Amino acid sequence: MGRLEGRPTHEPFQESSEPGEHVGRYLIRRTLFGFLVLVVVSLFTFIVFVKLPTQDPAIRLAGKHPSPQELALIRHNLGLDRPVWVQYWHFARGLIPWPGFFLDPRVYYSWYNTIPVRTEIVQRFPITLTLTIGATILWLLMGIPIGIVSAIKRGSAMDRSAMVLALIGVSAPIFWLSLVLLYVFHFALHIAPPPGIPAGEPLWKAIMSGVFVLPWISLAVTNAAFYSRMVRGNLLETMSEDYIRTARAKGITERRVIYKHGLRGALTPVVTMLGLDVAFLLGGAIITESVFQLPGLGQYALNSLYSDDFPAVMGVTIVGAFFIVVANLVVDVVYAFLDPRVRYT
Amino acid sequence: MKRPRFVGGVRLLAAAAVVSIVAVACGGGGSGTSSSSSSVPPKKGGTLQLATNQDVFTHWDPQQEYFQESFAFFQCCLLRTLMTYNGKPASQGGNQVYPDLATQNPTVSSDGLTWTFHMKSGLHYSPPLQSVEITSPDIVRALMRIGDPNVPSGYPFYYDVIQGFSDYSAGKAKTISGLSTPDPHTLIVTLTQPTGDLGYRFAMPATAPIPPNPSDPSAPLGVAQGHDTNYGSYMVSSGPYMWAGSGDLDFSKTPSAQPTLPGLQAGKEWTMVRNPSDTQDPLRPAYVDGIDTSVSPSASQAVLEKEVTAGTIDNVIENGVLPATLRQYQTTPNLKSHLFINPSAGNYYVAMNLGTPPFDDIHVRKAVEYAIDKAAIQRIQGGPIAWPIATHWVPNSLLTLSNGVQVLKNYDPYKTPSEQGADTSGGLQLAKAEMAQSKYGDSSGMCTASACKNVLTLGGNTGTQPAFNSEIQQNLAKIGIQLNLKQLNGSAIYAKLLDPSSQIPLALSPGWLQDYPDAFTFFYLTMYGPNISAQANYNESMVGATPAMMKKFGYSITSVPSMDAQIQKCMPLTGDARVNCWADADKYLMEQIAAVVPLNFTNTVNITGPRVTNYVYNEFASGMSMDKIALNGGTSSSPSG
Repeated sequence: MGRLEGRPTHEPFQESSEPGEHVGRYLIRRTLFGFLVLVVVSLFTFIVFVKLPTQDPAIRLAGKHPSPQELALIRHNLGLDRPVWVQYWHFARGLIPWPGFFLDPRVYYSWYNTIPVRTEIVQRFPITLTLTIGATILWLLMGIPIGIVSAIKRGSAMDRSAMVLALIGVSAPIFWLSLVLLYVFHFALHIAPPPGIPAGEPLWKAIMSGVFVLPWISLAVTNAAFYSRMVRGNLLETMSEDYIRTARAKGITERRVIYKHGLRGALTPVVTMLGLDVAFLLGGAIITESVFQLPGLGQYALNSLYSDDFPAVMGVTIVGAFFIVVANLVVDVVYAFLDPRVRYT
Repeated sequence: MKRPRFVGGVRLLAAAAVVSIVAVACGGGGSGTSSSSSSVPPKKGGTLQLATNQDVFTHWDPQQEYFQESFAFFQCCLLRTLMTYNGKPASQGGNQVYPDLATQNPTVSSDGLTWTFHMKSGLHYSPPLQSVEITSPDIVRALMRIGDPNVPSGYPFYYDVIQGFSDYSAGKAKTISGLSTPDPHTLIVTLTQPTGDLGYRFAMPATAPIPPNPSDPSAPLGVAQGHDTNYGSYMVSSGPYMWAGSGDLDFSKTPSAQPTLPGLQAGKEWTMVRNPSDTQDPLRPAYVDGIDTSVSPSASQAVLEKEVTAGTIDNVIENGVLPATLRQYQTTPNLKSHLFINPSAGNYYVAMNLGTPPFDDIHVRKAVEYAIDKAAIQRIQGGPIAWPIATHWVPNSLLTLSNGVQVLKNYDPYKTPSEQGADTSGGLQLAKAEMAQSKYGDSSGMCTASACKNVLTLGGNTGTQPAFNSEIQQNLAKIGIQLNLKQLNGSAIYAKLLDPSSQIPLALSPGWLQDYPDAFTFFYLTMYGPNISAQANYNESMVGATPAMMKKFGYSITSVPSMDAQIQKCMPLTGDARVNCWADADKYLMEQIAAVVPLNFTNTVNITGPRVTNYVYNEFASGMSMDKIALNGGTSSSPSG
């Protein structure tokens, strides 16, 4: 039997004789690509700020009636007297994830409160992380079971109710939902603690006092609604596949068919979305943090934007983009692992 | 003075906007007083717990810092100067300067050009220089650092009047020729022109003494040598308090190797403890043993204020109090006594650019003065508690004679029924009567020329500012001026306003605050022609601009009114003559130029926690006098030095 004419030499289903090498090359390629994404994001952010009609930070930092010499001195101290491309280069070096480079405090130095941006990010990240992890767990616990039940009991009253609620959840603006929750549970019913974390209070204490409960719920409801619809749709599609029919024909119980065979395929896209959603939130849930006065990265990003604090904006943008890039990479690797049809190319 | 974070007052407007709707029904008079009434003598001891969500800009460098928070801490607690304030309200002499390091008021020569200060002996610095006496060369050192070309000082222009200062600042001289120290306790200051408020300028924290470096006595800037931008982290105190860990400073090392003050952690905490060296300070009782300030740039004002109410902290260093908190303190019996409202020497105004039509015509400007409904603006901004209506330029506290009389208290050149401007028929009539006399108006009093349409106007976009902008827009529409309103954030507004070549006809959001309690600070940078600058111009109206300046900045109108002569006339005067002169200058501005429409003066609203006693308002710092605060119970655990 000869080789078929016209068949490509590299079939998607061909397996390399050394799968580890495949994965390795893939990872290196994706990492480099991810770094390129960070560079593009930083460049775009830099260009936007150079072009924005913001106040000269040297004037802000100078006293009143500064002399031209004094302004020149401050601009020199901030590095603003260097050519634009040199300024960008200094910021770009802060992308290198290596001690001494990443968000170098000598460059990423807030124009607003003269604190290294890295210090602020390190202080605020645990709050954003807490918000993200809690909300993620909650929306998975809510969204996936609802989606499964809806798919199994398709067309039933439960299914219809769940999907209507999901539609409401997806449609409700998160700022509205946050404010409603705050009003009902804190101001009206006095069940939830006041928003915000008292100055100096450790994070664990804030968690134990329930400060994060409403923000978790607020974030989780929107995402749970989306995930429930996604799981329902995926599961319905998966359950109509041939291999499911085969499994049933073999006499496997319906429960096992759903949970062992159907769900695996249905949840694979969920993994993709989950990774990206979590990465997005790690960059800062701006609205939720603002409404509930949580001093996380989202609030920092917003305040920095309002005060035209370019180093801070650049720092937060890079951190946010970093999470997205890493999440994309992780998700792709995990996806290939979960779905045998997918290979690293 | 520049407002924290937002130059020139926008931040104050934004912050005060958070004191927005205070229900008039709650009582417009305010329930606080300038000090707490307690029959129990203040007790010594305890640690005052403060919080802030605004870090200072330059890490407590005394020559660079230019904000109220830092002025308050320096004056009350960390630094002594030749002259200082008593840390009380204006009604109790808080606007006057008193000898601090000086033995008495300076003697002034008959021509006003030579000021001689005699200093107290036996005063020493905080550890590690507790054996070093404070002497007159130390003051010279501070002034040299103010003028040092490598140090971005906050307000060097106040010392240009010292002979040789300008040459030194320009790098043309190695010393300031107008300063001499014939002995360690005498400082002679020779001026280039008589300057009646020099005493105030020597009460500014930047003039606080800098000790010599024991390891390098020849260093011109003493212990500050080598710390061009960060001396605050190595600062040696001369006041009743010092930064914790001051004894750990080690000036024997090179500047880059010296350890920084442990008690000063930027963005985290500022810890002050008693200075064991401080003695003979009758102006600062310093009841508490220490002052601990938690710095949380990410904390919200609401959260911090709740902590004050709960007693977790004693006070928040902030600009204004949130409306909800204010209401709570006004209506809760056990909180009322912890609410304090005092006039602070600031204002908000509308600035008209004299170089842009239609505001080049004084009748148009006067029509605008009549048209704006100040009562509505006051309601929008939160009522009379925080926003007393202003009818002239300089706050009344700065125009107060030695007998307590406020010279312009009842002066209202553009009075309309209930201060409602064009929203009353009487006010509208007055405005139209002025407009009818202008070249842009018709006989009916409407601004009908094309210059009256599409007038570019800048206003803020946060808090109550949109409502405030809208009110003014409606008021001016009634006299035919159609605004092209651009609502921007503070930073964007000032990017335009500070550049005179932007030629912005109308600005709705500027504000101003004293640098020190003399009306000079309300004219020098805002109404004095020679100080119009291309980089940071606070004279939005271009008052006093010369034709050459106007041409340089691209104006087609090159002749604008000036009040330079009026300002120069007041500068050398002292005492009541000076106050009366500034009052006349204010009247001149309002009646002969009418470049600005003063909207409100400002009040400082402050709340304290339950254990705070003996609250005293510091007129200079527009805040609490931390050296006079005492705590219930007195003793508690104090931070170690």
